[in-house]
Amino acid sequence: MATAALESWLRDHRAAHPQLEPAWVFLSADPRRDACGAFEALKQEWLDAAYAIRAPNVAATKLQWWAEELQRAHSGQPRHPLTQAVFADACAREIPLPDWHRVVHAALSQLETPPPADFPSQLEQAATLHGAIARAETALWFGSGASAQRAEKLAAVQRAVAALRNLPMEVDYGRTPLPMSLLARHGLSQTALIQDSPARRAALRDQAGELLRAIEEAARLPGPLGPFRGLQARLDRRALRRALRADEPFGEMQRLTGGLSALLDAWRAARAWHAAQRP
Amino acid sequence: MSSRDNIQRDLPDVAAIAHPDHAGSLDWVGMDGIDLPIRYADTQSNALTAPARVSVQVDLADEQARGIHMSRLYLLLEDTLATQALTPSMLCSLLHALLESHQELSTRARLRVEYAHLLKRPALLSANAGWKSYPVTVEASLLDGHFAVRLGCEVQYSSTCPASLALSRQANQQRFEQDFARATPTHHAVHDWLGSGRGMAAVPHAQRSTASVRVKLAAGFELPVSELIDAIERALATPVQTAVKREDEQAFAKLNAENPMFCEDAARRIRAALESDPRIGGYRIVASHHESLHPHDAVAIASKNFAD
Repeated sequence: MATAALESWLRDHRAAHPQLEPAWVFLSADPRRDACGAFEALKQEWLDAAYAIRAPNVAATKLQWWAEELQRAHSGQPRHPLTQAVFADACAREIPLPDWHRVVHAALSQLETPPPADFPSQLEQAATLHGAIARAETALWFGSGASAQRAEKLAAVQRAVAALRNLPMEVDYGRTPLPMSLLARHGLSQTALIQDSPARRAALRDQAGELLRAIEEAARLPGPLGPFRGLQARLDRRALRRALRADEPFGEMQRLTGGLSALLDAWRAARAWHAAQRP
Repeated sequence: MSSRDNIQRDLPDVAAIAHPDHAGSLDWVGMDGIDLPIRYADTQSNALTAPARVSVQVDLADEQARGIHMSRLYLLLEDTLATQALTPSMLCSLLHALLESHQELSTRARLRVEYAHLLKRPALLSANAGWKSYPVTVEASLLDGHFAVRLGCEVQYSSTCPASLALSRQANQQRFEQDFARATPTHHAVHDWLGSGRGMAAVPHAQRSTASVRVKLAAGFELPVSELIDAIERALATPVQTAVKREDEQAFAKLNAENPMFCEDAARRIRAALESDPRIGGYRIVASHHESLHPHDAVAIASKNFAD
């Protein structure tokens, strides 16, 4: 049973990520809803520190706070409502402390990441942080014996999809959401990415194609996915397909889909999650 | 029936029986400036009692009701604040109790506690220490079932004007040029000159300054009073001192030279400290430099996710 404080954090998180709301429907009656839901919100706290703070020293201090908090939580003294909920779960406590620290160290190293030269290096860079998160996430959802291969690869691709979706913010924060090779191929500069143009549309379409292929490759890897990542993968795949066909791909990437198709996606993701939980 | 019951039965309750001349709901009704003792934990978790000034209010949602029950609010405050440590969970329970005492009348409640938080501060270099009093405010509200806590504090610090510092340096350079124009200065001569009255042609102006900070506390945390004050003082680097021997005073002078600050700099430094704390969901910073150059203050304000 969630505390009022945890519910407050979860409520804010859910409001900020309405696309994942259908997954909560299938999680609501699950006994591990609090721990797994709290991990979703916790993950976002780390990502916000890594990507949504302009001053690197401020971001680094915040991430250092999280490193200390994870240390405290692992030794049974969490202060944050989210870590309290996550570490109340036996699977979370079984995750070795270095694996938790790897997430924060990866987030710290992300603060100094150079622009990616090409698509493989973009995924490689993203895999450091997002792969570390996916490993902890898989261990939490499915136990430490579960393979995290698919979740790790998918997490890196999903970061690149998110960068494409949040393109103006990425550029505003001094990051390059498309690989340099792709920008060069289309004669684009980083700042030119903000404005709609035929070159940008072509570049975004190319990137959407790469991302779609990468998602499909990830889908063939072994390992289970939690319902949130599973749903996000399905939503991303739909969005990328739409972007590939669209005259203006950026608008398509930003369009939120809801209704029956999202619910169906969530049901499929939840079914896969339940199937993976069975011994 | 007791005599007390008889007395109560005989005394008219105008608020309960009379209708208002002009009906209508009211945003907030309550009391300001109530003197009460409160209990809080110091950094070593010892329970301390401090005099506090408390405001409490509920809304008057019932348009036909003449007024609220002030005495119920007062007695609940008196029962709770004087006996239980000031924590978010205590405040949440208290607000619920305040609303329960006004079930027919009110849907929202809020209170504000102001007190002086004493912290023992070590001297910069010597082995001495002294007590410093920080004005602290704790505001709690229960609006539409949503509980929120805000914590505020005032920190005093010294700000040396960066412009004045640069102008003073230039004046010192000019004095040096003037005094050594006809000679190649030796190490010894310069050393003596720097230690003489001639060696400092100007000093920058500095002033006692105040950082007033209010933060919105994220759900689920205890009140980080001393941690918030520490974070602000660390960010500013020049908090005012208590016990000061000569070595401490010199260390303070060095800190001032290393940390010249406009009020804008001070506000940004504090903002960076608050932004890096996951317990803080919003803030309002007012950095006021009580200028020694001017008869007015220089003020910088920064806020995020914080509506008054």
